[in-house]
Formats: sequence, structure tokens, C-alpha cells
Amino acid sequence: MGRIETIRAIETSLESRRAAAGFATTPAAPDAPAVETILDRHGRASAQIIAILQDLQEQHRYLPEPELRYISRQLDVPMTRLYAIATFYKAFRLEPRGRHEVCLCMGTACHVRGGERVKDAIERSLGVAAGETTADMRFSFETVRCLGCCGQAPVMTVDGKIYGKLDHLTVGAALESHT
Amino acid sequence: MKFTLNGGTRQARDGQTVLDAARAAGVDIPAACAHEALEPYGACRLCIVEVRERGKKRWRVVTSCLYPVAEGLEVRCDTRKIRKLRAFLLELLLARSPNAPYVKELAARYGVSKTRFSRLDDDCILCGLCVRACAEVVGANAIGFSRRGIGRKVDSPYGIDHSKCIACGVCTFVCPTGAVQMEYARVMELRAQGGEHLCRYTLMGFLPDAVCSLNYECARCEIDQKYRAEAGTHPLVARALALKSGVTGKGAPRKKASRGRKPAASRAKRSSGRRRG
Ligand code: SF4
Ligand code: SF4
Ligand code: FES
Ligand code: FES
Repeated sequence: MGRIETIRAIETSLESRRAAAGFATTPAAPDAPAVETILDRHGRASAQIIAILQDLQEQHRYLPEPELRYISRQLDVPMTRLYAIATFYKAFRLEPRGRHEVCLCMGTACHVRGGERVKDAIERSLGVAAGETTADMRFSFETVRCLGCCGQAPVMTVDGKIYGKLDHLTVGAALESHT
Repeated sequence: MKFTLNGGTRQARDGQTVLDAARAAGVDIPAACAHEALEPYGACRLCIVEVRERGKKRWRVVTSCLYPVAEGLEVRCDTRKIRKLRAFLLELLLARSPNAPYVKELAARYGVSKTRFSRLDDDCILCGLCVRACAEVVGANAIGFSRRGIGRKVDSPYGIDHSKCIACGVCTFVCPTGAVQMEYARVMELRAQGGEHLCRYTLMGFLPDAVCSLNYECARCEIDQKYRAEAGTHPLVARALALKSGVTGKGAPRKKASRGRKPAASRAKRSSGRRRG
């Protein structure tokens, strides 16, 4: 490589940018065959980008950076575009998710029946706030507005399984059953 | 073709937008998100006018930067309705960017000096000029929008990935309010990195293989001054305009954007609508 090429390579490398921005890690390699399967399923069309990202998210439960960069290169869609889409839609996540999804209802009925105290109890027992994931990747905790079963308020779901008539004492045991 | 503007008959070219035709006829319409080197976008809505198509009864409010002129189209630019709607939009803008001189001046020009909405103090008006210039004029795609609603902002991927930015400064040049920080961030990054860097005019494709000898202090650099003075505007914008006016007819295929090269313009020529420089 000549001098100019060397400088050019350094300047356009993501690694040097990440280092300058204080990130120590380099992005891992993508699982190319798995992404290829998804791309082929959608005819490798950049117009299908949302469907492609949905499939990717279904596989990982979030959108991993190496996979997004791979898609960007393969479909010739700029990363700015993918990042715009991934941050625009609430359904997409850029952070890894825990093994179990905890959804606590904060709707009117659940609020009236002590939802707030259950929320405190969950946050204390998991050690994370709503919207976050525990360090051991066991739980991700979200709050929602009305799960549609107000009769059992206050309600939470863990991976879709409903726990009703909760209080700050019973919620811990419900969480413990998911390892 | 002929159309009517505020009651008078005017000429327009095929494929011209109402905004371009009106400006060519010397009628002033505010347009914060339109730029002669870029495709129309329709984000700011300030360029609204009332139009009535030939044979139709109803007047409609449309954005003139996106609306094509047609034979016999009637256009009214300065009705009470338009003034009222525009004043409302300016109030919103003023609430978002109360300290941006560009916004203050624009609002004052159309008689708006205060806003009834709560203030945000963000200089970015989300016109998208920087984002579109980076994609259409530079072909770098280094910045885009992220998030949505009140969280919407100009951003690079993951907030830190500037690896596509060539520090050309087109974004800074087209931004009406001085809000965009990408060029600055990139230059600071290059300086912090130390070592040798390619001249940005090399990355823009003007100057073969030059290495920066001034630690990216472009303001002190002869090369920078020379290219800016020659172009009378940002050199990349000048190149984009030249390419655009060289394209004849509609529907020319849009070439793939590649770094430092201007993608071929695909729509009809846009000749008026100057913003700066
Ligand atoms: S300075 Fe960077 S972000 Fe701005 S237009 Fe040039 S390449 Fe794009
Ligand atoms: S940074 Fe400037 S050019 Fe970019 S969207 Fe905001 S106001 Fe417009
Ligand atoms: S309010 Fe909680 S389930 Fe309806
Ligand atoms: S909508 Fe902004 S100029 Fe037309």
C-alpha cells in the first residue's frame, strides 16, 4: 500500500473513529449466512428493508451492529438510513435484550390498584429501571399502557404469560420462576 | 406554458415547480428547506400557496416547492389564509429555535415576533438540507436523521460513527442556522488523532493525492481559499449545480452516489431558489 492509500485507510476506518470517540471495542463479525438467508427471503431488495430488519430482530431480539453493517454493504443502503429506521420505529431495538421480557401494566386500572408499588418492587428486585436490561441478561423490563385484562389489575406479563392481582410481595416469586 | 400568478399571466417552463416559476417571475416566497442544488423535500411548509387547477372550482393550499406548474394553473401567494397559516408555522419555528438569527429574521419578515408555544432552544429546524446535501451533493451519506417526533435530530450512525464523513463542509455551508456540527466534530477528531491526513479537497475529488500540512486548519489554508474563491460558493455545490444544469429533460436515471462524486440529477432543472453564496 502506498502512503496515500495508507492514510486513506486509516481515515475511513471505523476502528479509528471508535477509538477517537472513546470506544475500546471493535464490532464483532456478523453471522453472514444467517443474514444472507434473510436477505434472500426478501429478494435482496432495499425497498424491503423494514421487513428485513424485522426478521433480523426476530432472530436476535434486537438489531446487532455487525449485522446492520453487513446489510448496509450488501444492499448498498447507507448506515445513516438503517440507523434512522432503527431509531424511528419503537419496535426496533439497538440494545441486546434479556432472555425474559417483563411487561408491567401502567394503565388506569392497574395504576389505581397499586401498579406503581409493583413497579418499585420490580425495579428493586431486578436492579434496573423500566426500559433497561439486567447485567446478567436475564430480564428486560418495560412498562406498557393497559394489557387488556384490567379485571386482574395490577398485571404484568413475563414472556407473554400473565400474572394478575400482583402486589409487591408476590411479584418477586413470579420473577424468580423465570431463570 | 402559461399560468396565472396573483392575477397576472406568466410563463413557465415544463417541469418547473410553482416555487421556481414564481421566483423566476420575481415573486418572493419563503422556502426554508429548498435549495437549488437539491431535490425538493417539503419539510418546512413555509412555501405554501393557494392553487386552482384549470376547470376546478376549489382553491387548495399546497407546498409550492413540490407542486409542478401546469397549463392554466392559477396561483395566489399572498392571501389572508396563506399569511395566517404561515404565521402559525413561523410561530412554531420560533418556539423551536428562538435564538437562531435566521429564524428570527425570517419570522420578522413575515410579521411574527413572538410565539405562544413553549420554547425549546434547538437551533436545528430539521429542514434536512445538511442530510440531503451530504447524500445528494457529496454522496457520502455521513449524517442522517435519528429518532422521531420531538426527539428527531441530525445524527451519525450510533451517534459516533463519522467514518463516512470527508469533512467537506457542505453540511455547514447549506445549514441556514449553523446548527449542524458534523464537519467540526470530524475535524476535531482528525486533529486529535494526529498523524497525516488527506486534504479534504482530495477526498472531494478536486485535488489528486494531497496531504494536509496545516493540521486541518482549513481557514488558514491557501488551497481552501482558492477553491472557495473560484467557485464563489462551496466548490461541491458549484459542481452539483453544473451537473444539474447539464441534465436535459426529465427522468434521467439517477446514478449511484459514490464518495466525492455528485450523483446525476434526475429531476427537471431547478434554477432559482438561491439561499446563500
Ligand atoms: S462534512 Fe461530512 S457530514 Fe458534512 S456534508 Fe461533508 S461528508 Fe457529509
Ligand atoms: S442542522 Fe441545519 S441544515 Fe441540518 S436539518 Fe438542522 S437546520 Fe437544517
Ligand atoms: S390497565 Fe392494566 S390491564 Fe388494563
Ligand atoms: S416545504 Fe420547505 S420549501 Fe417547500
